[in-house]
Amino acid sequence: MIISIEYFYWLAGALLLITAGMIATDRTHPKRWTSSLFWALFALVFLIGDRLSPFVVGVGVLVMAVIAGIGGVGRGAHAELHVKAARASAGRLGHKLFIPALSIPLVTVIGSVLLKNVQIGGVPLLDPKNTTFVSLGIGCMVALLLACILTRDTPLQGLRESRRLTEALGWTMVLPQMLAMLGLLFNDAGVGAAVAHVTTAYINMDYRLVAVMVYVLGMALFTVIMGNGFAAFPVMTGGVGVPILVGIYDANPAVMAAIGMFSGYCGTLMTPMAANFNIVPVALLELPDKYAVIKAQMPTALLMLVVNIVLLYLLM
Amino acid sequence: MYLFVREATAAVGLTSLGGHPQMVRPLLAPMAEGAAENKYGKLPDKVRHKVLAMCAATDNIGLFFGEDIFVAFGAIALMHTFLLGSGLDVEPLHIAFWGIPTAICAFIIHALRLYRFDLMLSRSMAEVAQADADAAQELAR
Repeated sequence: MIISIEYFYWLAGALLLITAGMIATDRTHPKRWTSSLFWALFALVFLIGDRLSPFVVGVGVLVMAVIAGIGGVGRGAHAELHVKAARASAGRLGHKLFIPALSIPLVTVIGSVLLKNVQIGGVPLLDPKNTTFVSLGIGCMVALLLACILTRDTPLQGLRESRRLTEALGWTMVLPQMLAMLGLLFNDAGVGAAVAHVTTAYINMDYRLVAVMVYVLGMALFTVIMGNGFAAFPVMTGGVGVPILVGIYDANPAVMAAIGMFSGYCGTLMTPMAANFNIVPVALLELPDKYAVIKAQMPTALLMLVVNIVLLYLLM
Repeated sequence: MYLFVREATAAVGLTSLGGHPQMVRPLLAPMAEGAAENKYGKLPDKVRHKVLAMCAATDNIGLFFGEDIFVAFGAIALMHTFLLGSGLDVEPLHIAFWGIPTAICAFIIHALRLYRFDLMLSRSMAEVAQADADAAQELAR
């Protein structure tokens, strides 16, 4: 293939390494060395992760977890664009500002639909296994280029903003990757099989509707307990989704995954464990009732669970 | 008016421009509160808190059900990786696509709830106004 997903891993790794370098040279940074180490380790996984032994990568991940656990990932001060200058530039550009942002999904869809089977000299243009992600990477580069042209700024400012955003997200940025791995781990450890065993032992899965309900409601319940849909998804999909919905009832895995994840989000709307969504706003808005936001969300979440059951039953 | 504000912000939430510290606290909450006060006058604390909680809820719902439609989101990558691990190769674009029906339903349901919330608000404010008027009459007598 001509454009491989590997290149984008390298690009992501390089970006993270630059971020780590910027932090290391920032004398005013409150947690200079630990933060820098955290992002450098993450960068290494992208750059040479496939050539390192799994043991070394595992140790690196554990070190990252320890750094994040002791609160070692901090935010520095940034040379952001001057507020007035940013306002003026935003006023001048107006709605054109949305062009780069919208170009990302546009290029992604074009790339993954139209360029999917394009070959040059018998070699596929895009990595055939990862067309969508490769197109997404190209889309982001197009967007950066457009943004630089529109704002007459340099890619260097892009790097600075990238560091700002990375630091603003902090360690939560690595969460999706970590939890995806956790999911595979759960699978290998047989957690999915255990869930499957428990559910099939106590609930009659011979009815399609019952199986769908177990998957959707189970996902929401696990999310309520764990506070995060990403953690519940592998357990329920490995336990009920893949073996029963796909295995027995021949469901479309894309539909199952999409609606399953949304069911998890319904759970997120109902749990105080998801503090950043449900508890933090209460403090920000100075509400007297700690559960005010959850109470406001509850009816929508419950209705959505019903909708999800119906949709999954009909669409799968 | 009030519903319109909420609808518009829900749509903004759908493109996930939101976020509690950045959007809700400084922007959305005062906007909704202002809109409601414009219409009904000063709000009693209990009603005011309900309006604010609804703001936060709307932002959450818009964000959750909007983000999955966009392929770049981490959750899509997670689902893709997990399904690959289970021996099922699914295009990430398809996962995003099948999220659309749920997202549309979420939007409709929440918009309806906001509409009902608005009606409830009118009713309870009318009651308050009635009570005030009664009190004033009592006083006049």
